[in-house]
Amino acid sequence: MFLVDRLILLAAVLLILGIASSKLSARMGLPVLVLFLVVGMLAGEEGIGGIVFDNYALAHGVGTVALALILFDGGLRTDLGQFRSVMAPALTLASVGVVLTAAIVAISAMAVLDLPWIAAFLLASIVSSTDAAAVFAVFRAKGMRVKERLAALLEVESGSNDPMAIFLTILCIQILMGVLEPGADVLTFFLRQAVLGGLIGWLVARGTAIVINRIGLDSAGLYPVLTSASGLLAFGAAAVAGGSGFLSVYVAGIVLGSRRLPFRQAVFMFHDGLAWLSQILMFTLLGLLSLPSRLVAASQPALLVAGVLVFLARPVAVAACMLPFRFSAREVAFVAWGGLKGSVPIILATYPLLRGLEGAAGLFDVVFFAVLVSAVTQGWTLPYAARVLGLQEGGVPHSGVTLEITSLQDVDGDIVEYPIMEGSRASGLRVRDLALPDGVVIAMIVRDKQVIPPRGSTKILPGDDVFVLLRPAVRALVEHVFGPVGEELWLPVTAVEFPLRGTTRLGEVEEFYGIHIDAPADQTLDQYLCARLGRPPAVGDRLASPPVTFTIRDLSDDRIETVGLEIQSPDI
Amino acid sequence: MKLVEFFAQNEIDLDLKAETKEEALREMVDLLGVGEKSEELYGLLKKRENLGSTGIGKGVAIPHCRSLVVDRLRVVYGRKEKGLSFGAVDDKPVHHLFLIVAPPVEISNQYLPVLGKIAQFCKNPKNLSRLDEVQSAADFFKVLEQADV
Repeated sequence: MFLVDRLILLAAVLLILGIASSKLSARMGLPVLVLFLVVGMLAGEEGIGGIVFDNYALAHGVGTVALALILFDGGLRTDLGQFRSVMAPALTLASVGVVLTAAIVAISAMAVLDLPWIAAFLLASIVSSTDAAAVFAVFRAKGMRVKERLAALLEVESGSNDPMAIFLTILCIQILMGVLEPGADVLTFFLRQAVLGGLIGWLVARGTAIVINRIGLDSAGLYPVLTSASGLLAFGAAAVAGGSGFLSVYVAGIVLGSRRLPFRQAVFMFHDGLAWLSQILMFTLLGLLSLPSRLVAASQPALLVAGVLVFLARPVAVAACMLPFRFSAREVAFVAWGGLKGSVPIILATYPLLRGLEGAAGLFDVVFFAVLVSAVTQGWTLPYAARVLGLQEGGVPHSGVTLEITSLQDVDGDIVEYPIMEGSRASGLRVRDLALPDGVVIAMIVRDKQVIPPRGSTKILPGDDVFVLLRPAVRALVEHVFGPVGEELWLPVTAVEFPLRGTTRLGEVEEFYGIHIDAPADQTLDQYLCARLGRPPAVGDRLASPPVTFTIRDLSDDRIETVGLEIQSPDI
Repeated sequence: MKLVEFFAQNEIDLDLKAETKEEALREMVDLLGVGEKSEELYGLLKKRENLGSTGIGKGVAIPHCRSLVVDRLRVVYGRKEKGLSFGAVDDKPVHHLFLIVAPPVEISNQYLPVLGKIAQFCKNPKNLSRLDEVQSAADFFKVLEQADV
């Protein structure tokens, strides 16, 4: 028998245990990573498996690849619209927030644990990032939702703060090893990591998007392989060039995910699977690496670190970063509590071990224990926190599963499934009475496992699944038609708004409405609104220019296609 | 002021002959009785439509422009029972058309308010179904009075 035969069997058993524990995790409301770690610990030296594993280099290698793939998948799934709506606060949290958290933890560690400053900063940097994926798995399992803006904020923050934590950790190690001097070097190092990382990730993704839409591969199965290669290329090229590989691969994921891709769903599915595989492998391996007996020894400082993180550092950092963006105190509290720790700190804790730094083993144990404490306590209680803070939302449909239009060429259309609930705006209406935008067709309605071919007279009932063929540009409008009644949102047809093309010039607005806008007359509404907003536009953005209000109604990529002109308080 | 005061008896047409958007615009411009200046007005209205249809949905269109061709704010109402394809935002045929023309410099400054008021009036589906029932200009004025706009 070859050694590899046994390893394959072992890997299979661990993977199956991992999958089984994911079911358990949903039922118990615990983040999956905790159970994966437990599987690893049980299989390990001091558990029932008795596997002796102390290869930190292998764990670091697997961990790095796994993390890159997880970040790439996270980037792909990031909805660009959502990303933009929370970009400013999320990026503040991911940069200033991480530094602030690390600083508070470091100072506390220096004071209480009596660590030298650089060791304290290393420990603090390692534990400064968050992992929201775990939270949302729990939420989904319990059929719960929080306000979309908060969910998006937590998600984008956790995706984008890993590069910052990784950067801080590497920085501390470099200083500890005497490679870098604190001072100007640090700034150059930071800029290089951030700029090269972001730029290379962006370039690779843009290049991939062009290639993938023109290459015309003969087998559909090659497309996900191509995107994986693109992610790894982004990571490798950036890391070798001295940039942040993690930032690069995340940026590449976001950029590529926002483009039209052939076999989009298949590609996404592949990366989802890859991310799951990475998670199970990584956590199990990390679990194998840890020894419960040593964890017990590390419990005191670990509890202290976890305590400072959860109750002091994170709340202060979150409040400082979020309050300028006009969030309520409850929302701040929720995001603070949602900062649970995940895989990144444990992976980062192997870095000092690999460099053979003094006290690295103790550091690993402290980090490992602190992550477990944070994941268990915060992960478990977050749904209750949402309820207590009144930030929970009912089970309303966001958007359903996108069925794929299978084509080797890129097509400008999607099929989206909308489950109809009681209180859906479309519920009880006939198909012909739905205010669907131009060029949108209902492909089929599924009712009790029966497929109903839709006609104008077909009534839509709660419990139906409606499959809609649409152009991505009008998706927001369609989403609104099938969304819940209640909130006073704008309707696609408000009947008090005049639609104007984004290419309309301000001079023309003046000619027809006699209102003066303080900007060059040959500027288009698109240019004017983008400049006035000072950020990428989003559908629904409003700008008052008395006596009228402009509302952005339709976007295509970054261009404003349609603007609604509303006349304010028409009193004669 | 009330909306009703801007309408004149002979500027209400409950049975437009037009079969297309263009014909409807011409027919309503003709009701203003500006003679040979009609073409200029029609051109302006077309220009406005090219920036985005004034078919604001729910079967309503409110074509409008500012022009020296008129010497005061003028409003015309036209109805097409069968409906007209107008390129409206909801892609539905248009049954009710309100044409609004005002001089560029208008002392009472009522162009925008009237435009907004008519749009608001049309937002209420009840008003629209009442307009469907209207048999005469007198009925039309009654609907406006009932709506208290």
